[in-house]
Amino acid sequence: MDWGTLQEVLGGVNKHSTSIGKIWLTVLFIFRIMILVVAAERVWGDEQQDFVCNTLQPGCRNVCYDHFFPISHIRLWALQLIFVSTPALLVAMHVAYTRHERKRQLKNSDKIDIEQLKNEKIHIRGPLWWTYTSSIFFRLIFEAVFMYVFYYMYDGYQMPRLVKCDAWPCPNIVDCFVSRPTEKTTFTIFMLAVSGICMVLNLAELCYLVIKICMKEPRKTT
Amino acid sequence: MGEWSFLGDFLEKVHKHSTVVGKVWLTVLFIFRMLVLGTAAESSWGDEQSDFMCDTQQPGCENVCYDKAFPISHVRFWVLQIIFVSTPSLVYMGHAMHTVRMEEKRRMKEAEMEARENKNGGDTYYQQKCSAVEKAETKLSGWDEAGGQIILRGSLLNTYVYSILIRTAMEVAFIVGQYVLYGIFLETLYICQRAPCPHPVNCYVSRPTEKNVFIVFMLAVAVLSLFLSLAELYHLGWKKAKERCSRSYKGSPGAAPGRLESAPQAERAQMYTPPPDFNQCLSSPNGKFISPFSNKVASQQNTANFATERVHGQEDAAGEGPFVKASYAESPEVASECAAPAFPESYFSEKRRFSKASRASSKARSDDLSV
Repeated sequence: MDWGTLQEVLGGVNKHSTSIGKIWLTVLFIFRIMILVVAAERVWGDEQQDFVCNTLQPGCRNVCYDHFFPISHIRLWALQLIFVSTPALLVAMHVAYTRHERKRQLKNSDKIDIEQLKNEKIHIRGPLWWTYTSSIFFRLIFEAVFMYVFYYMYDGYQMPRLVKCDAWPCPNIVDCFVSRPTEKTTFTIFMLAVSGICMVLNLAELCYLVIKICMKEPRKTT
Repeated sequence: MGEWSFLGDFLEKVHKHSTVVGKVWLTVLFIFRMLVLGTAAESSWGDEQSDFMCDTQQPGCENVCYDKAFPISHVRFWVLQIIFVSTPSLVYMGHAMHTVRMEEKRRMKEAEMEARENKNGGDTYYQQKCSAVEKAETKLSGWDEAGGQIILRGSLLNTYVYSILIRTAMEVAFIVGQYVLYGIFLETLYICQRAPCPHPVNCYVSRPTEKNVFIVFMLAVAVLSLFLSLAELYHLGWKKAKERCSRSYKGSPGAAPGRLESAPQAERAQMYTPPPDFNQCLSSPNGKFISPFSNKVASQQNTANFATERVHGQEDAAGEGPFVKASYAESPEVASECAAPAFPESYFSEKRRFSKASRASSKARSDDLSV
């Protein structure tokens, strides 16, 4: 999986984020994407090959694996990371649109300074504030939804060592053994903890933005 | 190594703003840990489960025995170790970038003020003082314009020291953790008794000698990194102690007038105190502020701390928190950089009367901030 493209896109958004947003992005890249790519993918690499069932019945192992792992943890995490990063693209699009409008205005008034326009810092105010806040809100929703999906699909966050399977064509209840359950549980809990940290950061950022706008309002009215 | 680029890019930035020992530590991290892990260790551990053989035909026995023998693979353990050991440096980097941003904002403010000054043209005295104040802040906030480097001072230095301390703690924790999990060497034979294995079963680890070589190598590099972190702490601590000694040595001669004459630069620093703080010192009738220069550092510290608190109260109201701290710490440099403009004589003489008080407080601040 090529995460470099995502890094390029989100790197651009980073410039217009708050400090908490920048911390969130760092945590996302180092503690989630990097761990996923460098470590977790290898742990889950042989999950079907080394899923062993105590039976000689052909096909039984396949259906049992499919029954207990409808979607692998790795793919689920990859989807989670993509969904959680996507709202930031809304912000990037809004910033690009604002820049485009500014450029058009400058062109009309015959004062073109492209370098200044490029380096101009766009403050999080007005419509951009709404876009930014709603992107954080959606991020929170996506994180929570995926954490629940994990919990629902795998009955908690622990990987069992032994699963009992009686899906057809298995002739009876068959013992199947999962590969590396302890290591998988370790990484599941690690990713869960980092998701939690990201949610806390998003909440903090949301509070910060709301407080900032509330403090600006009285000043405007006085 | 491409997979490590996420972390690598961040650490490159840290590399720019570290001390010499810090740079050596980062190089060791990049080359002897990340590179070795990514290229050699990964392929050595590649077949760790597929070639983990148990002397049994019981289905599932190999799986459970492998899981019992290796709750977490060495490679993943080292990946977590590298990430956790690098994280404190990222926190320091965040603080450094924050400092840079504050510095840029301050410079923009200074430029605005100068533009305003040129427009107004009035009350040049106050404007000069303010611009001198800004210059002092620029010099003392820890940002070197010429080199584009961050100078370790004040809170930034504290963050750096804490990051090294946490890094050391993490390093020790992971080394101990590795010993607790696996001991030092891997045995070829692992005897496993776990359901569904019907009896104790002989299991054979794949490539134990090659793995042992890498385990010893990574352990040695971890110990080396630990040693480098401790050396960096010692170096920073030694510098701080040296500076503290030299400051207390400069502070020891007692005669007040002598102090006034020998350290006009310190006084000039006082001239950059914004009026509210200065008035605060003026208004305090407390005899403590005018205590003679004794060699009793403790009593000086007490009076200084008292003054500091009062000044801080004013500072927070004025919104110029960082400035006073910084200027008092580095008063000689401030003076040399900001050539004092023509101050009215009366102001200077007034300052002389109360220089003792402010010097007492400056002592405390210099201790707070010296490296």
